Amino acid sequence: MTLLFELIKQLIIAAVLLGFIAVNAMFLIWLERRLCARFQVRIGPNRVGFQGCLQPIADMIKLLQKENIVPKDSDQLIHLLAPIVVFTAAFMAYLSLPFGPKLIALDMDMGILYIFAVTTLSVIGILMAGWGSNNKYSLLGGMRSVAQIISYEIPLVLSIFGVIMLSNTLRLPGIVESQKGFFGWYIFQQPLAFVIYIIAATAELNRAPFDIPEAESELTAGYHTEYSGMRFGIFFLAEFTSMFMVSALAVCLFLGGWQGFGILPAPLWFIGKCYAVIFLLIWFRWTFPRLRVDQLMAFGWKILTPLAFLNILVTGLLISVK
Amino acid sequence: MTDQDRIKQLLERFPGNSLTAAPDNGVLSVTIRPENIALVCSFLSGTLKYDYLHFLTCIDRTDKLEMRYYLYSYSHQGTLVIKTDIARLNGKISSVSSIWKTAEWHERETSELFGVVFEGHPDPRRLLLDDDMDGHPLLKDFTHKVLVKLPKA
Amino acid sequence: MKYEIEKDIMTDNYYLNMGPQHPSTHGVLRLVLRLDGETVLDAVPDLGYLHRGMEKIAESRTYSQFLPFVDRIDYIAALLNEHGYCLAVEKLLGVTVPARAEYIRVIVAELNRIASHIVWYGPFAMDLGAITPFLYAFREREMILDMLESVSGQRLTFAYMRIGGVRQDLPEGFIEKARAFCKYLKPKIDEYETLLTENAIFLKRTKGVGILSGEAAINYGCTGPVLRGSGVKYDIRKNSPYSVYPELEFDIPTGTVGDTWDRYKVRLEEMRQSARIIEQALEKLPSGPIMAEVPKIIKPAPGEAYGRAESSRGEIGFFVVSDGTQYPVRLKIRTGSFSNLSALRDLVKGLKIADVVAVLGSIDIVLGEVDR
Repeated sequence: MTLLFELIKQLIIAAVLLGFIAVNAMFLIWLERRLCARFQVRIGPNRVGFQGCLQPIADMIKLLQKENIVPKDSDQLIHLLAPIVVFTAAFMAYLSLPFGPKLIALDMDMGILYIFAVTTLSVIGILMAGWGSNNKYSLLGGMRSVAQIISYEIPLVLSIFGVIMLSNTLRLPGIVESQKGFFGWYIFQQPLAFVIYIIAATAELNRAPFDIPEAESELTAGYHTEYSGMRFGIFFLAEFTSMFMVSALAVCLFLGGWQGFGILPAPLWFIGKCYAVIFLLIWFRWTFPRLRVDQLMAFGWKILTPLAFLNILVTGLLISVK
Repeated sequence: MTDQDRIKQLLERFPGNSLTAAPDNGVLSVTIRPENIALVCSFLSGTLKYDYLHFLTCIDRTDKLEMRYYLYSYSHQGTLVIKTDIARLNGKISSVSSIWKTAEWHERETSELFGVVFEGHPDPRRLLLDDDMDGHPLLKDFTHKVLVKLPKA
Repeated sequence: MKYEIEKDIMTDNYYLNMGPQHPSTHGVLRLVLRLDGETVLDAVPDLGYLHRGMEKIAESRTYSQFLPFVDRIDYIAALLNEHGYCLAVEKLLGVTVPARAEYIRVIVAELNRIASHIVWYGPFAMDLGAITPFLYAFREREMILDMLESVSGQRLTFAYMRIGGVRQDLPEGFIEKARAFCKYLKPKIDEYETLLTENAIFLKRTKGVGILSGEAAINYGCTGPVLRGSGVKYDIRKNSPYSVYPELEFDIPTGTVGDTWDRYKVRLEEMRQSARIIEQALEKLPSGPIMAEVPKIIKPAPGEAYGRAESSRGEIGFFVVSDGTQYPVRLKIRTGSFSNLSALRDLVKGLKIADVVAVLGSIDIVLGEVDR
């Protein structure tokens, strides 16, 4: 009986999270399109619904109607599974995101470690997509993506060491609670770590200026060149899912999580801050040119990683001095 | 050095009646026999410093093909045109692409459009046309089964 | 236990077919890339996907009938092509074009040059992954096209110039509009520079990439901004002047190294110089007829002429051979992109895939001009 109850509870949690992700992704699609239009002296979609708010739904319907084209010589099963793996990896991370005090699906002791472990799985999905499509552009995109994500995983994880050392916990709610007051936010104590985190996270997301795995002008669309219809849509959904996840993590680690000032409820503070970070990511994307693959690697290994180590060293010294 | 001096140098280097050089419509024009093209061109690009080939092309005069090489010099700003006649069908002439690299593509184009054979060309593939196309479209008597005659206006 | 390291792991080169349908081959260019991982070992251009046989078409059209075709050679800079074609035929005919017509030609041609450089600037930034500059640039292009539309009635393939002059006089209010536009454009070009020039990523992607030396550029027959980017100070408008360019003051921007960055800077500066030319030409615009006395049916005396103009992509030249009839015997079209593109193979050897796109973008080809 308890087992059944537990199962139903978990299903509901999953459904709620999935619903949140879907609605959020739609909002993000609209936000990104409108914002990029603003950056590009355009107006953007404003015809479907109020200020174009129904545009993502129209997009979604269009994608659903499209034919699912599978290349003849592709590895069918891998090709089919790839978008699901990519999305699942991003989705699983939501399990331990604290949207507010007590508002967390599973409060793990090592929540942050879990998130990094799970999100890295998306590499496998991307490589599957690149390999399974039987297309050289896809394969190149897949390879680039793997090299990039693995390289940037290191500065990304190293950058949060400082925060963990300060807060003395791997529990995400614990980290949030340890940031007391506006100036208690770790962004003020760990500004370098925040910068490294944002850069590395942008690379993890494969977003411009680090979008070389899908570099449109070089590889047509990289690993998702051969995907159409809803499968392409799932890649898209996964991108926005992990974009929100990365921002949420930045908020938890550096921007005081759900803590806010005034009457707004905690989850709203949390989501609002997330959107502020997302705004930054969108701003990056529509401003910068793209790095070249070797420059990207050099930047990751020669600049970001040493800087992250330096940050750990300085943080450790300061803590021991105190 | 004026065009007159250059004409003198050319005639000294290529004596006899293998070459005539005279200004024609303000452009120094050199008429040669086709077998001398490589020698003349290396002399022009080397000693006379014609370092830039505008283009080279061919004119179908129905009884022969006339070759034209338009040269220019960035150092003395002089223009020069080389004229030579070759046989209409499978006319042969030496390639000048080792002297001016730009000639490589121009020769490939002339070769497929007129059927001129450029001897010693490093890459004598087709450039613009399909590999399975027959005939040389810019010859005056070119016909093709998909071509329709233009109606008289 | 003994470990043996395998020293010669077999790796294989592979071929990647870039184009004819590819977002950054700027049309229907096909590049066959031989790659070792991401490194390009060889890049062989494959042309002809837009070959329309312009030179053959010319042989069955009269001289004036061929004029609209000229627009379609380089459809981005149609007026510059028309200018070159008219120069060639006028040279053959021995016609002197009235001063007002020449001034009008220069004004519209330079406007078209700016528009054409804008069409280069946007996609070039896009090739490097920056999408936003494209839309900034096209905002100004729209204004130019509106102006040219008011002059010629068309927005892309103008067919505005005639052998011996231009089709019609400038419309009312055009001069003020053009003057205002030139004033408006200069800060906008600074804005383009703000978007890219000092960007660290942009510098990394362009500085020292695809270096073409001056000698190589001449040997490959490169002209226009590609040649000038390599440090050769040569512009047909200055060095072999045609039309009324000798009466106008402008500078020839040149690069020093001949890399992608230099070609970028040269083009941006050329836009400024074009605006300068237009301002002067508007100032000096004389009154008078806009057409020379040219017979209805043009039958030049037997002979040949080569007329050339400085297009935005290099030298656009028309070699016209007449036999005294109203149809040319031969019309050879020498285009800038054709020769410039032939240098690509040497430029990209040893670079990365991403650099191929950057270098190709910096050469600025229009496939209609390459294939004709």
